[in-house]
Amino acid sequence: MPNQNQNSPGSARAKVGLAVFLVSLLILIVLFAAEVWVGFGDLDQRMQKAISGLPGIGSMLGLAVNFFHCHALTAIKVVFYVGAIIGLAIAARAGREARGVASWLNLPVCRAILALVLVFLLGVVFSAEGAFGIIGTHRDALRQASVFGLLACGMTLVIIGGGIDLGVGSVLALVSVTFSLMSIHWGWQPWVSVPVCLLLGAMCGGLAGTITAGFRIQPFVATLAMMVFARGLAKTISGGTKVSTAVKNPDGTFRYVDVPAVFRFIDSRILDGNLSVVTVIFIVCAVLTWILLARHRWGTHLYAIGGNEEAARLSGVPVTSTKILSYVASGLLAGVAGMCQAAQEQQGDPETGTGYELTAIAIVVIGGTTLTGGRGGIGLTLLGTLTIGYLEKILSINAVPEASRLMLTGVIIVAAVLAQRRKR
Amino acid sequence: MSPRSQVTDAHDTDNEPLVRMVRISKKFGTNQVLRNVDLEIRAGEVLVLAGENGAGKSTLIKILGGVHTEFDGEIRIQGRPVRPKSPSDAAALGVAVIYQELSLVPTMTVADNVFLGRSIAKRGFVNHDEQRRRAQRLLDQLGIEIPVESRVEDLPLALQQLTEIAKALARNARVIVMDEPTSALNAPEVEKLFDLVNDLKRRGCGIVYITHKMEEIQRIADRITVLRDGEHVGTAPASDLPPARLIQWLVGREIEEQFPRHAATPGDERLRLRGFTVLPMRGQLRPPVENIDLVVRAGEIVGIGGLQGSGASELFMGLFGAYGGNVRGEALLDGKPLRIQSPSAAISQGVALLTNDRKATGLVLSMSVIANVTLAGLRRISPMGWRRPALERSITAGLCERVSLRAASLDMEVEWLSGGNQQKVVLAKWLQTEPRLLLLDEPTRGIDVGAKREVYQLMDVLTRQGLAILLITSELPELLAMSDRIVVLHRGTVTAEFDRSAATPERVLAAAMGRQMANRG
Repeated sequence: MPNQNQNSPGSARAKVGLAVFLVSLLILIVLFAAEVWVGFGDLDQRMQKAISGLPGIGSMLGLAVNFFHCHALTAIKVVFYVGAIIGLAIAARAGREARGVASWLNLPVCRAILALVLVFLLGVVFSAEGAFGIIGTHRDALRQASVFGLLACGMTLVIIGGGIDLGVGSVLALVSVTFSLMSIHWGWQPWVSVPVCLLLGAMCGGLAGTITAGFRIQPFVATLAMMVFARGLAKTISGGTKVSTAVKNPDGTFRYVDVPAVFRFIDSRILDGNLSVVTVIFIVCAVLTWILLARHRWGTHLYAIGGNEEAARLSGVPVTSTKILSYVASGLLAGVAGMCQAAQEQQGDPETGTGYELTAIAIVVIGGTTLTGGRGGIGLTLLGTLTIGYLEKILSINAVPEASRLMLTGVIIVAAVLAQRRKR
Repeated sequence: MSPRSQVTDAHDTDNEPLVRMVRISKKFGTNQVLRNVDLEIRAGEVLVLAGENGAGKSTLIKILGGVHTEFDGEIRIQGRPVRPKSPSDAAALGVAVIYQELSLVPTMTVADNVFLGRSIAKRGFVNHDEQRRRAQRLLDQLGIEIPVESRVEDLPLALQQLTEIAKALARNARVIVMDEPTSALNAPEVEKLFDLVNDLKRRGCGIVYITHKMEEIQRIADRITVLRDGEHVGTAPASDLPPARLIQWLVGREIEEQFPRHAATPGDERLRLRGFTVLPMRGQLRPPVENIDLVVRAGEIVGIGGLQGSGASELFMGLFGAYGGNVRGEALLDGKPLRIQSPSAAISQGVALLTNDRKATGLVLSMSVIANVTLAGLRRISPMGWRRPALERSITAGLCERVSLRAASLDMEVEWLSGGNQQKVVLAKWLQTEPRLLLLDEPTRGIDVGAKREVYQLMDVLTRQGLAILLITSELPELLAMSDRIVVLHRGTVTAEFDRSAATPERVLAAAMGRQMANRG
């Protein structure tokens, strides 16, 4: 007999799972805080001493204890990390059936936050001798994620409108090359070069958008064409080489010029060197995009088109122009990202940004925006950016080789999307 | 028939029903959708499963069809206790369910679809010739004339439905469940379906037939099982359940007045069409709507009668600008020429169109009630494009009260609302644009009796406030009762116009078919 009670076995299990997760989380954070406070080697050595002092334990557990002796702290943290994951899994599974307590686990935003928390915990466990506790690590993680985040914001708009933009990586390279050429070689002032670069990015987006929305060509195909075209244009403009501070003289010799002030500004840090300007640019762009998406009619129209294009059209939504504008915004943000990229690399490389569009899509999807359109948001993409950014950083501070890093990222994308899947 | 079905025949006894579902209960979260429901399907009979939307009919059928696998209660098929674990498992047990959303692959041929999932193959290679032969034989047996080589997407909906039935029979289904099979069919097609159902009865199949249409129930039912709010109200032979009593069972109360239409007092001329034509579009040989003359006055409901292919829906779409400027002729709204370029132009001039398929063209299912209600009129309430969430919420709340929408929250996605409430969301959306002319295309399709009545009441109230309504409906009683005047279309042209007093079912139907008969005679 089905009981009428609110406390079904499902929500009881969900509560237990959540409790396990939260307790593990708390212990991990306390251990990490102690580690940062005491200094890494100290705490670990004390623990090792304490463990080896326990009678008889060494002979009983053999190999496992050997590991314990060498990495006492990490081993303990791994145990609780695994505990947290299991607790969360139990809660999520039970939450699928239960309403009430655990139903919030079904919200995409909660799932995106939990993915980020798990990645953070990974950093707490494998803190690379306390490196994860240093503010510089976080500053760099955010800086490195910012360019991808900019692309992902534009991608979010396009994907919510039911499209996809494969051209952003190439547009980034095109703008990067153009910006370098104008700033380094031609010596243009930023109030001229920046608007021109933004216009260039927006035009690329607008062209792709017009082809797909105006001429009704599948967005995958139209933006694939833009991806190839913009890359070619970038190579044409740069003459196939990197546009760097080594400027070629008319007689064939090279002279070196200073890095332009605008490059140095974008690549600098503020707040006593604790926050990169690039990150500030990303945050500002994300907020602007969020305002447009959540508070402007255009954003609502975009959701409507992604959800049901025909119903939107019959409700008087200007489908074509709304869609084109989403591609323009994506191109614009790719332009901003291109300028940031040029400033950070101090050159315009026509080969830069290859494959960035796929990272941007991965970020959007991990955040919980659905590829079919109509559902999602910038907040989710922000969480996705942090998740991917921190994952990269944690793997790199632990000196995981790039090959393994790529494979791990692939696995984690699948895991995150599985966790995000809509439940009925 | 194949040897396998003969074996199952041998097991059959006269007393044991094909399927017996006993004390079935089912919960979604804390929401109890079925409570101790019994259902019995006997060989050689049509069991009509009736109930308002949300009564639990679909859930019950999905349990039998192996879609919902977690439930309490017992299912016995020919005496054997079973628990269908998946749709294919149910099919193997001889149960085929034909849902409203057809489960055919539109790009494959009829033959391929009939044998979908159990192709006749040798070492993985499909024997297309054999499939074609067997599909042809099956269709011949059923008296269905469909070319087995044609692709399903090229067939009209009615033939697709028959293909689905053929697919069910190819699996030797003994129990066939049809969920509102006639909702998209026209009158001759319905006849064909009924012939087929009678044929299936003679072959000893048990048929469960879900429908909202009273006349179909009276025509086809042997027994009727009624569900209400997830509970089994009762089962009775059709002869013991006249319409009045059936409605009482369905709604749990007497509906004293099904159609609350008051006498209209038409005002000034609101819409005038002169020679209105929708030009043929891709693949069409003749204009779907040709030379229509029509007048609608303020405060009036003008019904458009016609069978499928009459062009009524196309008239609405053309008038609303959904075909762009692909129309000719004169259209005056309040004496001023109506600019027809796009839906947004139509909306800004005070025209609203409720389409005949709320899920496909009426709603954005992934958006909230608020977002859907304000979608068409967002321009008016967002100065410079900046939205005002508090204003949107209060406007939506007011409109939802006007259409008596029942939703747990205004922020919930409309996907989770019942059909009747979804339709009310669409109505609220169009009321928000403050239209002067409301085009209603099948406003009560697939919604329950209670919601229907509320829609009728709303139409009555709106016209008394001076709104002009054009109404398309395939249900004749609705057309006759709600319309102040009836204009009948046939193949895109007007064949008759009746005043309320002059309209009878026979005359309207004759006009809807009249031209055709004249042409043939």
